Amino acid sequence: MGRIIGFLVSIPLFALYPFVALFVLIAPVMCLVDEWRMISSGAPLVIMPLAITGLFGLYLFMTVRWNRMRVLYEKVPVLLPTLQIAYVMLVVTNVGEVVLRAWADEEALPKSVAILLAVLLLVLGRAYLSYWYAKYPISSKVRREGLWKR
Amino acid sequence: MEKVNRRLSGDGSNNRADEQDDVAERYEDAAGLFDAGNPERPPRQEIVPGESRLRLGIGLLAAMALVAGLFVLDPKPAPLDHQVNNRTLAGDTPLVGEEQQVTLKPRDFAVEGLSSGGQARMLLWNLKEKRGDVVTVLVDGQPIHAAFVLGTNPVAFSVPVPSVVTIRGDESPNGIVPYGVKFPNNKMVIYNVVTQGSMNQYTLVPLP
Repeated sequence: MGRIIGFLVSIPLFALYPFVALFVLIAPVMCLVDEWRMISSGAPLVIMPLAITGLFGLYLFMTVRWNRMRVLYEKVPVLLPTLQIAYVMLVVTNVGEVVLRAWADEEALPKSVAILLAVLLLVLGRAYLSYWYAKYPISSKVRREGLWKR
Repeated sequence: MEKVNRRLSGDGSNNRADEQDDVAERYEDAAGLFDAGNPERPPRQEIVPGESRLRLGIGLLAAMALVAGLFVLDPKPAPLDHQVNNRTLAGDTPLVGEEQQVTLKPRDFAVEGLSSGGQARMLLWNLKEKRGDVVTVLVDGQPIHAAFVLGTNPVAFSVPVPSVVTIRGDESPNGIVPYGVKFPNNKMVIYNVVTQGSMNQYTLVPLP
């Protein structure tokens, strides 16, 4: 019985997957473009709510956690690191957008501080990913021989 | 006896035995993750190294984004009949529909409480989806740029404080341009309307 329910629940979640994955892959680029447009024009833009990004992240977490959906990653393993990188970038750029809009729309903080924070967030995100893939390399050769050896 | 013989006989079989041991060990390692309710399922193996921590990382990031996102949720924009308010985000306003009557009255405003000296930013956007509304922004009677088509995305202008800013309606398909103005400096949002050929004035008053 539990299995039947699980199967039924998984159908819409599977149907949702390509859209969420595609969105998570493309959205960081859109967010970066929006950040740049806000900096260059000084006018705020209506941005994607950060809470939606959080919901997408919980969905992705669930797909890795739940065996029934984890099959996706067993079949196409490259999805997992790809989506991790894209999702970290999405969060970082989306928070950057929120910070920049706080300047552009309400002048809650000076422009220089807002730009600095947005850049710092990007650097932090990339540093986290660098650290991650130095610690857990995907390449089996690197794993066997270490990161700094040829 | 046969087993012992085979083990002693050559390198090849020896290696195979080692490999089998390795596999057995790996399966034992994965036993903790074994899906007990589903005996046909092969034991779980990591898809990428550090999978469970990667998963945890995504989950924590998502939870933080969700919680933070609930705090920075956009406020509900003020309805159009509140001509002055200070909670609407620029560009995030209800739009006037094609057939809808514009109930706003053209008015002049004094904008007070701007930081004195230097420039203030002024955001301007259209409250109507339809294209083709052309306006000009003038400061103390002098246009600060060429006439432009006002869209629903805000555009920013830098205006001196104190000064008198005038918005002039140059062209409009139906003769009336409802628009929003926001001064981020004091968070004042004004919904206003300008007709073709007429003007609205904003007197910018700095803080004493």
